[in-house]
Amino acid sequence: MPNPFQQRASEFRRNEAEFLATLAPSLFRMTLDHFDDPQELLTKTVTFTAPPGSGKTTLSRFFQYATLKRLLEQVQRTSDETYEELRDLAIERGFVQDDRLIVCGARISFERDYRELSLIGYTPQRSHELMLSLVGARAVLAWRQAFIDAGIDCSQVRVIPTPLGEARLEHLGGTEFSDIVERATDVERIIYRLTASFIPPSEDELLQQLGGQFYPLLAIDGFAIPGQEEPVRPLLMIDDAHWADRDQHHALMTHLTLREVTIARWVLQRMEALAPNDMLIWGQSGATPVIDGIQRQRTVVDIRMTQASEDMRSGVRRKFRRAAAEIAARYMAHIPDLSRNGITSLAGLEVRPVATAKQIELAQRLPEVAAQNLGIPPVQVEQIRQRVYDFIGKQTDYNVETVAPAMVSILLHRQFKHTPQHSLFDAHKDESLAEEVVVEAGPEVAAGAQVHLWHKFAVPYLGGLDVVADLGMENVETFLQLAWQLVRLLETQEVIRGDRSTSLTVKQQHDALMKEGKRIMQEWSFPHAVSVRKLVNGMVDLCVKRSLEPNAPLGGGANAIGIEQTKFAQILDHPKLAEALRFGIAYNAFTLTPGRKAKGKLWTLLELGGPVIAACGLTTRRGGFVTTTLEALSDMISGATA
Amino acid sequence: MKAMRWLDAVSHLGPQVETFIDSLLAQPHRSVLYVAGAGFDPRASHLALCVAEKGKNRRAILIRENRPDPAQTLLDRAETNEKRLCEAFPEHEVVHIDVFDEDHAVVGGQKAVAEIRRRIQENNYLDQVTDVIVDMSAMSIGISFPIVGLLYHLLDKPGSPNLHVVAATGGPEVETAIVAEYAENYQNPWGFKGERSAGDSPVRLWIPQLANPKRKAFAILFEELSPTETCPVFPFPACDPRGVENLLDQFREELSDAWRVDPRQMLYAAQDDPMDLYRTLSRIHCSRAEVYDLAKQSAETVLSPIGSKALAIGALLAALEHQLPVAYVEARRFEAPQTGFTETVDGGRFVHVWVLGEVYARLTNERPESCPTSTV
Repeated sequence: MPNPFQQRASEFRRNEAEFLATLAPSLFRMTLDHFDDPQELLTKTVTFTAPPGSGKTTLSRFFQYATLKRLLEQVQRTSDETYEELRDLAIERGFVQDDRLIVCGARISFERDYRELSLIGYTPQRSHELMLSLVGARAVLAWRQAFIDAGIDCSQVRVIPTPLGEARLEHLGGTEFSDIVERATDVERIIYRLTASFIPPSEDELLQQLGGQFYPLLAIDGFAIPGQEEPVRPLLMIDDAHWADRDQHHALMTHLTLREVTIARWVLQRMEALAPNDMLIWGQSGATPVIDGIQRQRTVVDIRMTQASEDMRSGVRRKFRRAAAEIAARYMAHIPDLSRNGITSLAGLEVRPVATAKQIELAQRLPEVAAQNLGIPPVQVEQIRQRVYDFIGKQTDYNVETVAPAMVSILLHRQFKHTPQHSLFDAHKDESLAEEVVVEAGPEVAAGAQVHLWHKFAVPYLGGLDVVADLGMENVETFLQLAWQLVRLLETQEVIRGDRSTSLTVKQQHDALMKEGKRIMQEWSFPHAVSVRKLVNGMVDLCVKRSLEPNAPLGGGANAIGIEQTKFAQILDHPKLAEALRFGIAYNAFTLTPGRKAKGKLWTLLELGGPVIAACGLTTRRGGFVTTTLEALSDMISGATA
Repeated sequence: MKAMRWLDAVSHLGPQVETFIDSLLAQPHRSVLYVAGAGFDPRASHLALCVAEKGKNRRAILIRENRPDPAQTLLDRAETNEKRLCEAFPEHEVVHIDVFDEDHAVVGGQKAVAEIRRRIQENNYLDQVTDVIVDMSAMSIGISFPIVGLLYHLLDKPGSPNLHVVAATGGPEVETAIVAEYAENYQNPWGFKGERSAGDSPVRLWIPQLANPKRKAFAILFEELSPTETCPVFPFPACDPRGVENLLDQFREELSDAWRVDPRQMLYAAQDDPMDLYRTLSRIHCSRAEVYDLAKQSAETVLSPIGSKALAIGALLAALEHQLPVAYVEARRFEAPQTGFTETVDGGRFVHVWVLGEVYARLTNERPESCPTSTV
């Protein structure tokens, strides 16, 4: 089996067992558990929208008929609990009942051919008809393939029409599935050739070849398959719908939400499928629905796989940590050199860094220098030192020799800020009257100390599986890209050097994550990547500057910028910035979180992506942000401040 | 093995190309339609000037490929090249092609086809024309392949003008000097998708032509094509005797890890001879198609000619003859190389292939049976 860390889900296409062996049920639950009623996702048009690598294709792959059929077989054959967990999920989501599949999921990709139909030069109406006919034809062929893969004789499958679909079914070829397949094959061939032709036929000529529209989604309600009493409900999963142009997308969604459509239908797409307003000010009063004229709430379930609302974010992060650990363990099991030597997870990665003697020496000078510069009385210094050591003595994850003095330095600066300043003309100060120490040591100060230490003395701090998961930002592919760098180090240690260590030092981890983060950023080549890079650089500058303020006012520091929500609603007045944000969000350069409450206002946050955080030495803790304006962001793109 | 259409093609390399153009255009009845790129590429005008010098009756369609947010230096160069070409061809038309649509989809190939088709079918651009020459030197394959493909389909009948393809290949020292940002997905040049939809799981053979600065493009292609087998093409013999070694070094991770290429799967094609690659590709595809045809299995051979222009012409001929899908990754943005452009004209690196016309009169009337189609 090829190294799963280096493969995307769509590549596991030749072997269902291999695919199932790498799945983590908790990943699907992150998306699906919000919907208590499984029928909601099987009766309405469901859109799954997320950046690349968020698991859309994996999700659709899992719910395919042949995959679930194989899963049920695996449950019978093995005692692996994961298969049972996956089976339970399929039951909960209404795909399996009494150990039988009752939904026939098939996936088609909306790549290339469909988009090309809009370029041929036919009228928009005609090109949309062709597009929908191609969707219908490929849906039928996908269901046929699903039956073949599941060992079902297609000639024995009958189609159950929708309440008003009988006449339409006749036009499609009849109630025998194999007859409809035959017609679908012809339709698919004719339209495919059209998209590859240098000299397309006239519209009349084409219509004659096609014999009219081919819309099976309006006519098929279910399939009666041999050996199963109750019919199976078809599910069509249209992947990569972002390839459609705006008009095509609208036509597709309109078609899928017609009253006649009774099959289950899922549309999976990247975020660039969304209009700027629908992505950037989603759920706010300024946003308009994508599907004009359709009662969106009643007919469409809009799932943003990585756009969790502010109140759900911490829960999502916890769930993703669990999913990430599961995925890493399952993937590592497929790397023989590791599994042979008992290295089966990343849970043992070191989280406590080791500092060099020089780093310790430099760090330990910090309190003294701060106290001297700020004129903090020794009594207070001692009290603060005591508080820091009381706190850090109970912790296991920090390098005490460096983090503690850095924390003391931060707290001294905070104390200074809280202390009323003496007049220049005070003759002398009475230390016995020193103000009370008002600062406390805690994890946020320690996080700030770590970032300070990294930037001042290169003391590493990115270590541990949770940190790698957090850097993944709920994106499986990003997590896997980062985790692979650690896995390959483990593999190298084990195989090349013969080390018996099952762990990596924090320095090894930090260096590897930083290098990979830089590589990922360098390789950005999506639309508006140049503007996004300028924007990210500008945001990083703001965040680093704020994070390195001596009193670490944001604790771990900032990894986001915030714009007042009412002002962010005007984003469409800045079209160039809106496009850059749209694509930056769509490709994980940053994430957008509206509705953050702070300083008595609501803020929209743009949080830097995990690779950027790793590359630039920012905190992985969420929440710290620097306030800015849309104008300042526009200036970053135009180069005024970048 | 079935006969190859261009097994004995008329083609010229190096200085012979200029000699051929001189002798062809010395014939007084010749009238040329010259189709060429008029962009920033340093190779834009070399061959055009040769044609302009000898061809009395000449007309040009000059293609300007427009991409979003171009660098000013490149725009300036493109303007200069365009001006030079317009002077060389007093009867000319400059056609601006937006390579990307507003929604970032790649649409340039289709637009180029529509523009050329309209001029030929509605504006009679081929009236009195004896020779159509497509200069691929300064056109991306997303534009040049569809244009040649269209002309091939229009002119592949008796009595039509001759179709020639030429290129100033420049070699790696020129062709690898231009840094590009790529589109996120791979594309098929318009018309080069293969005859049939490959379906979900074809046994796919991918034949990429390796070129160093395009590693990102190869990564996208491999990931999305997910080929069953990969047979990379190395330019050999080549001007640089260590060229293959360098590529082996530069692509070592891909070759050994991701692509899992066995040394026996490596292909070699003479760096500046398109016919060498054409013959190799045809032979491989036909042998393979015959086997899979017997096994009644779906098989596909995908070409990625994103290396040198000379080899791209070889791949173009194989794709035309066998209706092979071509996959490439469109450049979204070019940047001038830090070391500057190589301006010298290397007459030793010119290529010409006579694709259709009077020299193949017998073949045009009695075309040899080709091997099974790309998808069996």
